This record gives sequence, structure tokens and C-alpha cells, in this order.
Amino acid sequence: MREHAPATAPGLLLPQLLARADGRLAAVRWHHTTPLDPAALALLTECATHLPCVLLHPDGPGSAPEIEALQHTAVLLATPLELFQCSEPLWPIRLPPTARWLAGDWYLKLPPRGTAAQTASRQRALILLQLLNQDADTHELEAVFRQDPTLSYQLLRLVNSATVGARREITSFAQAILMLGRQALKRWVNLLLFTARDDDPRSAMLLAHVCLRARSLELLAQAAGQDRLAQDEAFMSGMFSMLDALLHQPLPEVLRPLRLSDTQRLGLLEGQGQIGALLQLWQAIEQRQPAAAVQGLAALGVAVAQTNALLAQACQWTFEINGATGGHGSRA
Amino acid sequence: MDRAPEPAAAAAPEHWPCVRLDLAGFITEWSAAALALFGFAAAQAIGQHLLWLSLHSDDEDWLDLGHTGAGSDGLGTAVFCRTLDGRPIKARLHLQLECDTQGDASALRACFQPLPLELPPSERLPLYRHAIENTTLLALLTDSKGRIVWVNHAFVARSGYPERQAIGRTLDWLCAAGGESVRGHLLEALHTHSHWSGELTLRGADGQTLAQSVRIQAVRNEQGHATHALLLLAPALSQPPVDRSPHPDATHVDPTTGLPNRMLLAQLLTPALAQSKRGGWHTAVLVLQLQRLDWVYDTLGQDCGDECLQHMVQRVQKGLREQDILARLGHDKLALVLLGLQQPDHAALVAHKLMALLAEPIGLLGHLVQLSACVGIAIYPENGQDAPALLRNAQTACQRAAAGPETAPQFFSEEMTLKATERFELESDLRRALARGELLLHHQPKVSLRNGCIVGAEALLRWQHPRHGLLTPMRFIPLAEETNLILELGAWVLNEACAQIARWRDAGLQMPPLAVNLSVRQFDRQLPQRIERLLQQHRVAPQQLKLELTESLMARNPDEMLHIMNELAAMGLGLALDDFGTGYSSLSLLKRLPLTTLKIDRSFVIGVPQQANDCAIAQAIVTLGRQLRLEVVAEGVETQAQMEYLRALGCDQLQGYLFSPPLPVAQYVDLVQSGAQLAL
Repeated sequence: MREHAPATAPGLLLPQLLARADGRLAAVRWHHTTPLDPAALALLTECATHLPCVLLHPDGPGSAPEIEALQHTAVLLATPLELFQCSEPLWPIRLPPTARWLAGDWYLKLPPRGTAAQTASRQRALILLQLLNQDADTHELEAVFRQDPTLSYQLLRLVNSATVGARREITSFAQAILMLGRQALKRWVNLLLFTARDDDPRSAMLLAHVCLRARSLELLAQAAGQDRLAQDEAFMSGMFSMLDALLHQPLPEVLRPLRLSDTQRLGLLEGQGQIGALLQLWQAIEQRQPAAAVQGLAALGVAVAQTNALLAQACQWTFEINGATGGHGSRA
Repeated sequence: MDRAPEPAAAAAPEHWPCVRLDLAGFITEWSAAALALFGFAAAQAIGQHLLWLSLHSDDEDWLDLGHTGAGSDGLGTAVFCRTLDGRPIKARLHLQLECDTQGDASALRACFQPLPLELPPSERLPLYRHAIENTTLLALLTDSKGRIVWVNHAFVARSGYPERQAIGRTLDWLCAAGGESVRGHLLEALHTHSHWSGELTLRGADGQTLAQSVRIQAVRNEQGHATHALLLLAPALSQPPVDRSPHPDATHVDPTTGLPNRMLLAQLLTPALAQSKRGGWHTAVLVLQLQRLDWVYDTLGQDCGDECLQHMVQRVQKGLREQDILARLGHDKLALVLLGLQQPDHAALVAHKLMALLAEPIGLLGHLVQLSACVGIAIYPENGQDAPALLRNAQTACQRAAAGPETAPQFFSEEMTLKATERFELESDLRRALARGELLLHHQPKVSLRNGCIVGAEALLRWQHPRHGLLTPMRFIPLAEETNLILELGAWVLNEACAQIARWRDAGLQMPPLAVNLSVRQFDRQLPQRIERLLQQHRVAPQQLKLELTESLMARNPDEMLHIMNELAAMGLGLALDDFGTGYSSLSLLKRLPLTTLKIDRSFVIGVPQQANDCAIAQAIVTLGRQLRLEVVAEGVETQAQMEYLRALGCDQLQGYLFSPPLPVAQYVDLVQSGAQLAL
């Protein structure tokens, strides 16, 4: 383990999700330290064949030859004017004519709608119902829950409801699905449809944000040699760590009705243990503090190159479930 | 009034119990009326989901709530609910959305309109009528004089008399001549005892007779006068079953095949041997084991298995002479006695002929199934003087034939007896070992291929044998699998692993989870409860224990196995599929299993990185694991080259001599505590 993290993080790529003017997920901007090393360049080029990847090219042609070389790849080079920074909730968004993408965390500051997170997305509830009617595999059902923090939060609350019986800690969505059983799940989804709402266009980015966090934590846990159980918990923690923002309620209150393991609860609320360490590391990545991120990675024993690859993988998954990768690969 | 009635839900009377729910269906407010109806206090109910009130977790009646908008049309949905004292209640549930000042939905209101549990009178009559008209019991009503006034459909169908022909007749007209008069009993039942049970023989329209047990019941009016009699007829239990067997004594005959059973065979064999002795002939006892018959029973079902067996017996019978005796010894075993052989070798000719007959494919439920048989032969007088000895030796020879690589029939030999004796001794030794505590667990560490740390261990059974030293399971598990000992051994291993985890915890040691192998035989419906009890007894968290299953498990009854595995996964236990890729594997089935881990069998690991085939298999397993988000563990890794190859593939963990052999507990603990790592 390193004693002191270097002030700069050679090669570390940090993702930032960008939206289109309509609030939908559009691209991922990669923050990097200069100069970009060849391994990171290769990874970016590869990643850009799967999803829209943006690099900022602040000083125009001729300034940075290694970025210049990306002109002929699928990587999108953007000028600062093409990115519109926005951290306040405003809707509808009016982009300046020069801007192509919307950056910033405006979507985290949506006006509070106390009940919004209690109501399921009609689209996802219908998908679930369809899967249940087809008697789909647990894997397929779990995949729907992994895309939707509201749905998975409500699932865990339901499992905690006394009919399910033995008080057991829940460590994965698959376990919750199996504990509940198909018939009970079907009745619940049917009931959800009574109050379900159509997807709010403003929530697309919020969901993408949560999914990227959850999947990245899962992959980081895997890279750190943690077992499948810990990986599932890392995913769930990543998702649930944003419930306060989603529900506009303090996290301890939100988590109270859930039957989580102590490791998970302490990690989420007190920042303790492996989960606490992962969440702090993610904080550094999300706030784009490379020094702190490198320090956290070193403590986990995960190399920078490995981190870049898994962040790219997490972004790719986020785009896939948002249906935002379509047609892009052909540009490679 | 000419105004259309208000929708019921909108006009929910004040006294209907209503509860408030959040938009996800969890109870937030509980009324006094709800307390009165359900018995649950507010503290119990608040925070629970609405579905918590449903009576059975699999009731269909709550399914319609969402779609049909149980509140919007005002009709609601009739549901059964549970109450504190366990008494079911029925209610019509109306759901309504409550909106805030901006018109956004803010809460749900669920109102329960109590419904009587009993059927309303208007529904009862048609239901009664339908039930009695369509029961498969033969039902008749007579008037107080015993004249038929009504018969149901089953009566018409079975007796062949249309209703109009039966009405007005007496019972005795229906009964076969020479029988007891039932009319007397009927009149007696009507006027004194109220009911009578007995038997009668019905004479059908076609002249056939049907033995029926009958119950006669008086039907009384409000004044208590018997006005009618109700007769219910069912096929008589004492009716002799269709006789398919050549032997009248049912206790000596196998009901499925009609063949003599083991007991009758021994009785038949004794005089046959005496005769053989007098004549100076040889007699051969053959035991035939039908292989894959189990598979037919397991996969195609009981009826199909029976049909298959009957068919096989017919084939054997075709190949026999008049004096030969065929019997059924066990579920897939037949015994054949060949009398009056000139030469013992002739038995082998017969055996070959039968094996060829049995190997011909048979069509079952549209499948073409091929069975095979193995045959063991014991010869009188060389291999035994009496029936029990000959049967025993023929079975030993048959076991040998089944275990051998060739399909030839096996003659019994003395050397086989020695082997059998050895096995017998081993079995009784093993029973003693369980009792005396000669069994122990060794632990083989699993290390992460990401950082080299120990992330778990597989518990492996060892037997500290007083004479033969430390035995690995290879020496005794195959034997245990053949007897019920495997169940005891399996239970011992599970219990010991939990006890070990508890001891570590009590000693304050931080140890990674322990994996235990489960035998196919242990996998029954009660397994989850047994494990649940063990976990509770030792206060072990399910996350500390992992279960390793073999692929062969899935060959038996996939749906049943899936159900059990789902229960185990719901308990929070990690499930690994051992030796993946070696046996029966259906990828579509694999996808349905609630696994956490795939293990690459050592037989593929040996070949990497040199053998292209093994590399391809290892690669496929890792890819599959990634797709299904399963952890992939390589077993039996012995060399640095294997490790490097598997790590580069993306394999998560390894287990093998490269890092550590299976270790006694103390050494394993030392290794974990020392922080030992695999050098990557």
C-alpha cells in the first residue's frame, strides 16, 4: 500500500454522465490528467465504439498531440462551449445555441416530490409483470430490479413485511425475489400498477447516475477480490446510498424498514468497513478528486488500469439499460 | 328513485374499515374499525404491506387489484383476509387514490366492505344442484316408499338407464337377482335409524353387474318426517381387483409385473433345487438389473416407468422355456432360474440372448428409450447349496457386472465373495467411525485471483481409520452412496462445518466462509429445514456457509431440484455448482439455477494452457460465469502456468496444491491468520 498518494493520478479516467437537451442520457465525458497515457487512450478508443465518449479539447487543434490523434477514432472531442454546466433544477432546460450537452448535477436537485419514489415506473412494472407471466428466470427478474432503485427499495420493504416469515438479512435482489415467491411478486406488481406513473423525463439521468454508481461499486468489489456475496452487497449499497436524494428523506429513516446486514447498514450510515471504503472511494471518483481516488484504490488493491476498464464497463452497462447505446457502434 | 346509484366505493359507509396506505401499498394509518375487523393493533399493522393481510401467499384473488382498478369502477375485488385469531374473513376491497392540492397522487385508501363468508342463498341452490348432479358418485333420491324420484348423471352413465326409465322403480328392481333386498334397509333407515350403509349389486341396463357400496340417508322435512331417501353409491372396496397375476396369493406377487416376488421365489426355488440334485443337473440363478429404468421413472413418471418395466418383463418371458422361473427381486432387478441345464455355460447363452432382447429401444411417451441390462449368474451346486446363497451370489456377480467396463454377463466367483466381505467390513467400520468420532474435516483454502488473499475454504471429509490410517473420501464415499450411510455422513459433515464455524466465532477468529459438498442423496424437500435448524442451533449466519452441488443432481428431477435450490438461496446461502462441464449440462437449465458460483473441474484445469480443448472449455465457463454474474473458481490448480492462464481468462478464484493442499483445521487457521497470500 502506498504511504502517500501522488497529487496527480497518471492515467486515471473519471466518468461524468452528460444529458441531451431533453434530459435524456447522451454521453459520458471522461476527465483525465494530462498527458493521457497510451493505455488510457487505447481504452477510450475501444470504449467509444460502444457508447458516446466525450473528451474535452480545451485549447483547440495543435495543443495536445495525443488528443489530436483521437480525431480519427469514435471519441468525440468537445470544446468547453459545447458543454453547458448546470447545477440548479430548471425545467424545461434551455441550452445555449453553442451547447451540445448538459453537464452538472441538476437532476439531483429536482424539486421535492415526496411521493414520487413510492410510485413505481409503469414501464418497469409492466416489464416485470410480463416476465412473471412468462415464468422468466430469477436472473431476468433481478435484472429489472437492478435498473430501478425505487422498485428494488420497495421490494426489500415488502420482503420485510411479516408474511414472509423468518427474519433473514437480505444480501441480494435475487434472494429477495426467491424469498417472496413468484405468486406474491405477481400480486405485488399488479398492485403497483394501480399507482404506477409514467417515467418522468427528468428522472432518466438520476437513474443513470444511480446505476453507474451501483455497478461501479460492484465491479470495484470484484476487482478487490471480494466474493459474489460482497459484490451483491456493494451493488445494493451503491443503489441505496442514493435513496435519500431519491426520496427526500434522511438515509437512516429510509433504511429503517429494510432488513440489511450489519456490514451493509454500518457501511451505508457510518462509512465503516469494506462498503464504507467503497462508498468513500466512489465519492472521490464522482467528485473527480483523482488524488483521493488513487489513494482509495490503493487501499483496495485495485490498479488504475483495472479501474479504468471497470468504469468503462459500468458506463457501458448504464447506457445499455438506458437504451442509449443504439447505433453508435457503427461509427468505429 | 330514477337516479343511477352512486358507485359503492365513493359512498363507502362510515363503518367500513378503511386504512391509509402510501403509494407503494404500505400501511400508514390504521383505524379503529380495522382493529375491530382484523384484530391487529395499529403498531402491528403500520409499516406492513397491504398484501400482509392476504390469507394465503398464493391466493389468486388479490391478483386483480392493480389492473382492474379495484376502486375506479366501484366494484372492488372480493378477497380473503387473515385476522389476528387466524379466522379467515371475506371482504370486498376498494382502492382509492388520494390526491394532494396540486392534483398529484399522495396516498392510497383501502376500504374493506365485509362480506359474509358463507355463500349467499341465491348462489347456494345452483351450486348444490351442480355439485350433486355432477359428482362421480352415483346419487339417487327415492320417496318415502322407496320409489326412485331422481337420479344424477353418474347414475345414468354407469347403469345405462335413462332417468325416465329409472323413475318410479324401486331399488330392488335395480339390483341383481338373488341379492339381499335393499328396500328393506331403506325403509328401515327412513323410519327408524335414519341411515344405513352396506353393499348392493347393481344390474346395469346391459345386464352387467356392478358391486357398489351404498349409503342411505333419510331426508326429513321441517316437522322431522322422513319424506325422501338419498342414496350415494360408490364402487365397492371389497370388489376383487382385476387379476393379472398367475399366483393367487397377492402378498407373494409383485403388483406391477404380476411376477413372483423375492419371498415366493425362494419358496419355488427350494423344491427346484432338490429336483435338480436328484437329476444331477445344473441349475442357474440369474440376476438381471435393468439399467436406466430409474431414469425412466424419474423423468417420464411412475406410470411410464411401470409400463416400461412390464414391457421388459414380457420380452424376457418370450425368451424363456416353460419350466424357467422369473421373479422380481427389487425395483429394477429381476431373477431368473434356469432349471435342468446340461452345461453351466448355457446360462451365459441365455443371458446374452436376454440382454439383446432388453437392449432393443422402446417407445415411451413419444421418446425412444434404450435400456440395458447387466446380468450376474450363480450356478447350483458350485456357487451355493440353497436358495438364499445362490440369490446372494448372483446379486454380487450382477453388481460386479454393473461396475465393470464390459457388458458381458458375470459368473460368480469366490474372489467376489472376498470383495463383498471387504465391503461389508468397510461398511460396518464406517458406522463405527461415525459413532466413535473417527471422522474429521480438512480445509482446502480458496484464494482470490485478484489479490491473492484467502477468501474461503472447501471442507473435505477425512476418516482417521484405526488400521488403514487417514482415508480420503474416494475410499469410502462410493460405498456410502450405495447405502443409507451417505445420509448420515452428509449430515455429519454439515453439522461439523457449522460447529466449526461456531467454534471459530467463539474463539474470536475472523475466518472466511466454509463450503460443504452435498450428495445427491441428501437433496430432498427437507434439506432446507435441516440446514435452517443447524444454522440456528450453532448461531451461524447463512453467509458463512456455502454449499457445493454436483451437476448430476440436475439429471434426476430438475424442477424438484430447482425448488429446493431456490429455498436454499432464499435463505441467503451461496450455492456453487461443482465439477461444472463434466456431466449432464443444459445451459438453459443452468440459467434458471440460483447459483452464486461455478467451479471449473480439475479435469479441465489439468489441460490448460497446453490442451486447446480444455482451454476452450475453461474459457467458455468463465464467459458463461460473467454473463450470469457468477463467481468462477478453478479447482485442482497445481502449476504457475495454469494459474496465470486462468487468471488472464478472468477466473475469480483458485483452489489447489499450487497454493495449499487440504489442511487440518489448526494449520488452516494458522494459514489464514498469518495473512498468507498467493503470489500473483
